[in-house]
Amino acid sequence: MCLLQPSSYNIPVVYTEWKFVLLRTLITMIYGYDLIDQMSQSNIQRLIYEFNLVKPYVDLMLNDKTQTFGDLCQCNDTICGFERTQMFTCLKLITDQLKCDYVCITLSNRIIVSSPNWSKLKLNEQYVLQLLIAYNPEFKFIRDYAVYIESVDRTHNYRLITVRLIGHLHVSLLCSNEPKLNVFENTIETIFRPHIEYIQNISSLLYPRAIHDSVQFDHSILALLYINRQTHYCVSTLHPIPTTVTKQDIVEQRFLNLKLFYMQMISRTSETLIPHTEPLTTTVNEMYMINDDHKCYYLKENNYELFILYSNSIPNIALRGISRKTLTLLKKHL
Amino acid sequence: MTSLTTSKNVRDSAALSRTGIYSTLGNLLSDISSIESDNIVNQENFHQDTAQAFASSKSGRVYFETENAVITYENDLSSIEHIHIRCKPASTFDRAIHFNLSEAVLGIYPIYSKIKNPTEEEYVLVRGIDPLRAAGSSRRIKVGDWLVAINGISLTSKNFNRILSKLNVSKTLRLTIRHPINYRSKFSLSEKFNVKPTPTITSTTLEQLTHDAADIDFLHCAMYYGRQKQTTENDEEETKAFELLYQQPTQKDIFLAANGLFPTLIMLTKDMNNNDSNNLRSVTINACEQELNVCITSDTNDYYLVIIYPPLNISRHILEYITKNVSRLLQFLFGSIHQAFFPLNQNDESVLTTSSAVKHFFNLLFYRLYNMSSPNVSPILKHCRLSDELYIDQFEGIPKLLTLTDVQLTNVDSILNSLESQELNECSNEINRFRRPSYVYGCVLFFQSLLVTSHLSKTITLDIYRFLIHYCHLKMRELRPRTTELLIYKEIFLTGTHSFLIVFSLAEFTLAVVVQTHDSQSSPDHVLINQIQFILEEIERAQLTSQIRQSFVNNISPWIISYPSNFVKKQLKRTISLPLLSAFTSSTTNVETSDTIRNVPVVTEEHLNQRESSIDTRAKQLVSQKSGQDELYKNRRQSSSSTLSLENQTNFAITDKMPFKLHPGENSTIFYYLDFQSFHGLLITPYITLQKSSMTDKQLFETFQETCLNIRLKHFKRTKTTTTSVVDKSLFNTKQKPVYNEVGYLHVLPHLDSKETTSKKNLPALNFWIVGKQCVQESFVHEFFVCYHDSIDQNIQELAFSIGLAA
Repeated sequence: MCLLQPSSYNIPVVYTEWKFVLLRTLITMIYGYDLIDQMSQSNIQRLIYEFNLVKPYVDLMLNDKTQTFGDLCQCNDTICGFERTQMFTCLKLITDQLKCDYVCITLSNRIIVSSPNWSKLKLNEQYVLQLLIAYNPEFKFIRDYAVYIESVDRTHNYRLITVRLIGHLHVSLLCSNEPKLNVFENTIETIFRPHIEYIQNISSLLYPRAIHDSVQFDHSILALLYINRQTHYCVSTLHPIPTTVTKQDIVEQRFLNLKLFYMQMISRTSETLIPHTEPLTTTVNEMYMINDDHKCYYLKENNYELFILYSNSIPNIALRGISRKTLTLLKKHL
Repeated sequence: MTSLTTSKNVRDSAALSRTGIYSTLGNLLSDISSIESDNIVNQENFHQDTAQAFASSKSGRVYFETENAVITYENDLSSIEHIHIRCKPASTFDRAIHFNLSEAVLGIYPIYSKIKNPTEEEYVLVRGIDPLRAAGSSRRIKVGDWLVAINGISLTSKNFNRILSKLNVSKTLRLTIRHPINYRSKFSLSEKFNVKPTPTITSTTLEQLTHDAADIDFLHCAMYYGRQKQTTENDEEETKAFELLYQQPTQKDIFLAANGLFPTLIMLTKDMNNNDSNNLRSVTINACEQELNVCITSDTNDYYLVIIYPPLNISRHILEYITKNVSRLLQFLFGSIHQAFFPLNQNDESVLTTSSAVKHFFNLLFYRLYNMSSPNVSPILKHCRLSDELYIDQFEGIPKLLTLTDVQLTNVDSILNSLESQELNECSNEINRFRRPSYVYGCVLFFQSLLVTSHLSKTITLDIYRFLIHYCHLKMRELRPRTTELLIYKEIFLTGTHSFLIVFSLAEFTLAVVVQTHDSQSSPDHVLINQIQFILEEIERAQLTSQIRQSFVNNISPWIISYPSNFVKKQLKRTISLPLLSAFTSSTTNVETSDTIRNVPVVTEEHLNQRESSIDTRAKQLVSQKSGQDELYKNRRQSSSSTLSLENQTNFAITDKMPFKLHPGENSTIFYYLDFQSFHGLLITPYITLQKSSMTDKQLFETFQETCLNIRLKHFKRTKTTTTSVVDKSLFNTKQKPVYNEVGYLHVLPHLDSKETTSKKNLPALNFWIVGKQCVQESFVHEFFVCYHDSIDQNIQELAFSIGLAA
């Protein structure tokens, strides 16, 4: 098997390997483990059908169209800056009424809240599930997928039922034969109807920024990625200023620059250029890069990492101070 | 190495003289005495063996053929000589410095050769002599002599080492040698003129020691592919297939890996063809459960050299640099990469020679790469590790300059000029009165691996330097300084000319001469080789070696201080950094590249003896103010420091070899900065944290090295900067990645030294920044790297950069 890595792109090996893990997880989740060979001999039509099912997700993964960083930093994308108590209450009600341990509420492909069992699934499985939930090529309101989950039981498939509440907000369930689809739909409606305003608020305030409007950043920040390595959650935003509307190509460029910055940091810490007589014990806690277009700053404190993209207007001397303040702010919320 | 021809002539004439007759008689007498003292049986065997050798030859003469020459010996006693020399015990053999037992015990470098009418026995000939040992100082043993017996025991390749290994004490041995009557060098083209050339030695030690690369455990391969094209319907060329034309080594699992390369190859070659400016690409493949880095290069669009590197934890960027060097070397040695594998003259002999040369070339490359990590490598070859080329000061493949005084340099230049102007002199060969068919184009002189002077262009000098480094000749000079040898005699390919490279070495000097010939048929002859050898001996006689060694002063402090006056800004402001800078205005020390720091350059003498400039005076005036001196005495903990008042500092001579210490202070903690253009740097350290040969120092410097290389390779290497958001669909597009002109890393280094960990106080970790900046000034790109303590003020850092970038 070849890993194509153009030398000029400086993609760390760790990142490419994780991508392959995600692809493998996607394929085995849809097809099942060890079943592809059987299918190719017995039911070619089903094989072709499910290839077509998988294709858009493969495309999403390989071309980084999600504009999130969960696959890059091997964490779960989430949102932050708002009170989740109500969401937890709704989640508990769903779990109790439907008697299901695997429940998750997501905004696009970012987790808002999830049941304990769902959060115990492997990171790659969670990522792929969130992808399946969030990206709906057929624009269906409610969907029922058959998926195989290795960490639960790889011998038989589960149902991934997902319903779109509003906008990009989804509620999803991982279950076996029960509950039926209509039961599920009715239960969800019953539980969330009283909270309709709250849900609308979340959807409008948190998408696409992923951080509540009450969290204000310095005006020179263009994009940021915040990672909690202990809990394996990450928050990222390409729209740090809530009131401004940014063009799509600029957003894409910010995403690309931040991603490259992250990969540069990973390759610096994980690769050595020349072999040393003894391994180096130094660690990198801060890093910055400056060019004519933008500035980047990386900050690490224990299990927290922050990658920020700044505009050129910020003076170099202020980079460190503002980055530290931003990290302190985000640590309060996640 | 003395000339055999000369000595023979002397001996011939001496043989007829009274002295000669007595000498021959004396030798005969010693023969008789040896019969009495030694084992008679052995003596009979000795005579028998010789008789057999003679019996095999037709005309009563014995012919030996070595790789360099054909040597003829006469079968009479006049050419036999007994020499008594004092040997060393076999226990003095040290694998680190000796290649064979004979070198250690006798001071003789042997070569084994069969008689030209081949028998099963290999006899021992003298390939070289250590001039400082007894064998060399006796001047009776010459290169080309046949070592017939030791203490009457006849020698063959089988019993030679066994006999030597039994010598447990230092004692006098009787060597029986036979001098040749004719030594015909294979380099000589003047057979018809019957001229006896000087015998020469080529360095086969490296070939002997270098294992076949197939013995290396790691997966590795060099392959050469040809592209088969086809024309599509739109009259465009597209790749039909790749044909494997050459593979080394031919391992089966490599072939499987090669198969996995094909989809990559097609994409890569398409990108390389479309983007002509960069004919080098690298990828990582996953094959045989290993991650292998592969570099692909080409100098045409139809043939590609693919090198699969062993998985030795080397960055792909470094491997790209190595591959570029390989490509350049192949072009230098063979004319083009394609000609390296498929020479133009397709006769069998040249094909065989070239293919073995290419094989050896790649064997060396892989062996030197492998050498970096293998624990079982020869300690001699450990010095030839490829990683040594990757230190910052060597990174561009530029040799470090050895600086001589003007007088010394003029002497050397005039000696070399006398060689280069040979064509204007009369030909020494009386028979050929026409103009010499070859002439010296230019010379390059090295001392160990430092460049002394070059009379060639920069490109050719660098090519020769890289070539000598690749074949480890310069490194070997450092280990084997006492032999004189002709290292290389080779045709090279410079554009538009028919050229040869001749490399001679004597003691620690290596002289590389580029010779050009007027037509493609002629080549340099032995006369020119003799002249080059003579020139090198002239240089050695100029007693430069001792003078150069004196300039390497042993400095107790491991920290090197250089260019003090350059560090003072023209318009000085009263800043805290002043005491820091002014402390070095009186520095007069020479510089040594100590073992603890490898990347500090040699300082030129002209900087050391500079008169005090007006800037220095001004600095002193400012610092002599009391408030300035406060900084020097700030930290009272260092009661044992050698703090000096400014006045004393002015008169202080560094050559007194006392360490020169600074008060640390919070602000005087710039560690080092490095300018890649000029390879200059300044090191200032608070002695409280950095002491001689501590682990912390080592980690600090290695981190600095690694980080500078990282920044340089990944950010500064690209000359074209673009920050556009043009998205090209090509997977290998280089335009997408933004280029940064300032990159900084904050490192945290925990204290590592045992003394410090046993201290009751918890010492804080060392926080230091490494920042690299690049700027373009007058269309010239400058790079500068500074390493400084985290506590430093911003203005100090800016000061360092402004000084460095302005210098």
